[in-house]
Amino acid sequence: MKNEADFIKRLTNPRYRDKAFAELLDLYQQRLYWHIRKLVNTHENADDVLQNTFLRIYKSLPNFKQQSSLSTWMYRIAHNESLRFLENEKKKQHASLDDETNNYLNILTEDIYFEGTAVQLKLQRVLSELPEKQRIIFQMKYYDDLKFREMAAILDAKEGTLKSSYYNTVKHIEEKMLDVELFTKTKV
Amino acid sequence: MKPLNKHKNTDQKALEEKLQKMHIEDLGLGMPEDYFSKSKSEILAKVGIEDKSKVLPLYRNKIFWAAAAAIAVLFVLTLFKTNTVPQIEEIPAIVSDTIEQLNKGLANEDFYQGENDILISSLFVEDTELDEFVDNYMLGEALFDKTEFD
Repeated sequence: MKNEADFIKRLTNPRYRDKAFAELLDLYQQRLYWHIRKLVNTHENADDVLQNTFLRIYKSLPNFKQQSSLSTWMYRIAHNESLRFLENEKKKQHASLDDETNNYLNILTEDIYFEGTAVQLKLQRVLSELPEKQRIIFQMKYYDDLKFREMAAILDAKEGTLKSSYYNTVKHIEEKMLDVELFTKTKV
Repeated sequence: MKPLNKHKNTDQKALEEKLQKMHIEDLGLGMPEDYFSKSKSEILAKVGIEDKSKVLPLYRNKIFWAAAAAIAVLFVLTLFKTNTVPQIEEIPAIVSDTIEQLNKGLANEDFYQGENDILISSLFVEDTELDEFVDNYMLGEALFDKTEFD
């Protein structure tokens, strides 16, 4: 982002805050939505979490210490909001860790806004079989187009660990999806 | 599906289109039509509400509630007072004495009227003639009382 420091000043100045916040929404709403959507699976849940995320961002902006980029800080809030939401859902449903895979797929396919074809469903199944952290790392890198450095800050993890996890996951998915024409055409 | 290597950001719009395409085409994740603009409006509205809610809520303001309670009590008391006819024994002594005096005054209206007349008339009497005026008044009163008595 150009002149991020100036933008942050506007965001924290009551005189310009509202307009700057609307710009912030334009810039990050979609990116954060997709990040959240993959974590919480359904559109309805993602919508709730996205709203909570931006409310939290708005409230927390005066305390933003600029120790990371604005983007990283916002992703971190969105990520934590999503995890908090999932924890609450787990408590509500008394779900055990054993049925995590089934839960992931069930919730996904029950969403009226899931329009997956057979290929998409297969990819989702492969993803759902991954350990949660590995899946999140893959999704953040592959679909959210985040840099490893940013991911390390968001997930509070080491870049090397993330890289290693990502490339292992890519290899695993390639193997699982070999029979899918669409995927093999485009793979590296 | 895009190749499993890095894809570079171009500009904001291109990035969003790319993200949307990937999520819809690869993962089958859809959403309601015009979702982002509606969501933006909702978030901005909520932020507006959140901002206003920073004003100290009434339930936290003890002074406000104490004042409100006092006003309410006064209001209720006023209503009761206006609708109740007080008994004579409930009225404070100084008030009841005044009422008694007034009642007596009404009964002796002529006396008070006469007394008032002489007081008013005395205002127009010269100082030098005041003694004579008083003597005449006293004599008149004595004759009046004697006639009444007879």
